Amino acid sequence: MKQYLAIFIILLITIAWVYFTDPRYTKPILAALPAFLIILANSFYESRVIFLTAIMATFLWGGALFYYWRINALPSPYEIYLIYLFLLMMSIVSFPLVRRTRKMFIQLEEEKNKTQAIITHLADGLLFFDRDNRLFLANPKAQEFFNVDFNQMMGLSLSKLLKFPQFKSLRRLFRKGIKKVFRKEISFGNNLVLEVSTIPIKKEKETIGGLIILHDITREKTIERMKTEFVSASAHQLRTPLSAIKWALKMLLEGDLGRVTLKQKEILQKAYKSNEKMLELINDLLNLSRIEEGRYLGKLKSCQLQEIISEIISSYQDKIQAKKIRFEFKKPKKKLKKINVDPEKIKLAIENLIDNSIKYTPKGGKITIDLKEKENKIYFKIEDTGIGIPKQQQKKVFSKFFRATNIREIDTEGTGLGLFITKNIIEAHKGRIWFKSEEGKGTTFYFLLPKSS
Amino acid sequence: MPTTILIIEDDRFLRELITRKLRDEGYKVIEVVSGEEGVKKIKEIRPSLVLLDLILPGIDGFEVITRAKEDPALASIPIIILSNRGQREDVEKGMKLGAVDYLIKAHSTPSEIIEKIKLHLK
Repeated sequence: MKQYLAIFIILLITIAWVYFTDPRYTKPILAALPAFLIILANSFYESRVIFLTAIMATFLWGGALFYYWRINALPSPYEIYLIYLFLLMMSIVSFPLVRRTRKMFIQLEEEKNKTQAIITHLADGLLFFDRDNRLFLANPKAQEFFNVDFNQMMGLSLSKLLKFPQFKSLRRLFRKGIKKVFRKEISFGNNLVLEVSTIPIKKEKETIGGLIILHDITREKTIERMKTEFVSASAHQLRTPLSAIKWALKMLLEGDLGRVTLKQKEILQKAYKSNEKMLELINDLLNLSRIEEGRYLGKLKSCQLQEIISEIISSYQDKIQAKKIRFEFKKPKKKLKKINVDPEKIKLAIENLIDNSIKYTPKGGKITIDLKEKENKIYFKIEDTGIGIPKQQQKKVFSKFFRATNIREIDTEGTGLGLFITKNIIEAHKGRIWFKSEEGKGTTFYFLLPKSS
Repeated sequence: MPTTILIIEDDRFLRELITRKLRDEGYKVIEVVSGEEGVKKIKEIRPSLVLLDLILPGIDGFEVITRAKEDPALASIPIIILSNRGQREDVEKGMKLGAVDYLIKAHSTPSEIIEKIKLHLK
């Protein structure tokens, strides 16, 4: 900035000096102004063309001056050389400016090359869109993922791009344009699973473009599947020897191998119970791996949820009466319409909720089940006066293997998988499950199921 | 002639346990470890009832049922599936192929199995 100001001031002083010493030179000096400005402009826009033009213009101008001197229209050459000197000074002054600008451009070029190298060799796919949502860059990895020639697709808007068959899986995600997407897993044919994210490109507050990042997680998904298959296979294998133990212990307990003393019976019963617990855990693990494998929901049948719930309640009558719990099932006024569910799984989901209520409500407590239909959804509510869930632990309630600290004394045997499985079942039916709880007062679990599952 | 029960089960311990229980109840028991042997024995000795596991070396339990039911002379022999695979699809498939009952080993005790056998022998 200072240099430009200096040049400008020198220029003014020179013109003023020339004017006041010999006005005849003013015209030629002013005629040289364009050349000066070109040289100055060269400092702003690094361009060899402009620079050469400036040099050429200078010489042409010099030549013209010489000619006019020859035909006696102007003063002598040495005064002209003065002007030339002046011009030379200007050029010299602008050189460092030019050099600095040039340096800046070289650096920019370097940066651009570095960035280009990064984008080209990145293991993730990148698609850059400009502010009108048109594609202007796709890196080689993106080409690899989609097996298309993006060069043919440059300048196309996102909506046009999505019409191509290779991008079918992305259509649902970007139905409303490049809105915020964070790590959504999308499967593509030929065994490719990508994690898709979008990033807006901002300049200060303005969005000048968008970036779609595609991260290959096929391997991770494969490993996940292998893990699930491993758990499933192991669980199945474990069932056989555990069944043998169950039978052997039962036969001993029933006296098939001779009379057992009371003490022997006690120990055998403990062993039997422990074995049963293992079988239960394996059952849960198998259910778990089936959820993760996504094969969880069986065939959907049209069912009456009311009946399923009534059945479950009657199967728990003994436990309810043993704890003297006041159990109420508030049925809907109108009979509920049938709903498409996997009856086995829904039964399991509701059983878990009822089982928990009964287990964690002390003697003489109250459990109420509420069932109603509203706006094409079925709402289920189970409220108990049990020990509740501690506030700090509430967000972990649906996690795998989680058991709250306050229930460990009451029930040492739970697996911590019940609610996880229930949540998965409800969500597999496109429903939603939530709860409210206060320690020492009680817990209420809610879930809703859409009619059209 | 004592009632003969054929048990097709490849796990030795389980087989020994259920065989002992069955013999204690007075049944005659023939044991085989594979599906092919099972089909052969069904044809040979015409048991009164078959206890059949699903996971077997060689041909599986479902195949055994199919082959047994092919022969009209053997079709009336009641087959009870005794397996640890409890998936609804497996139960439905087994029953559709012609089994009279489906018991899950891990959820049943030997006494319960005897009850079921008595039920289906009637």
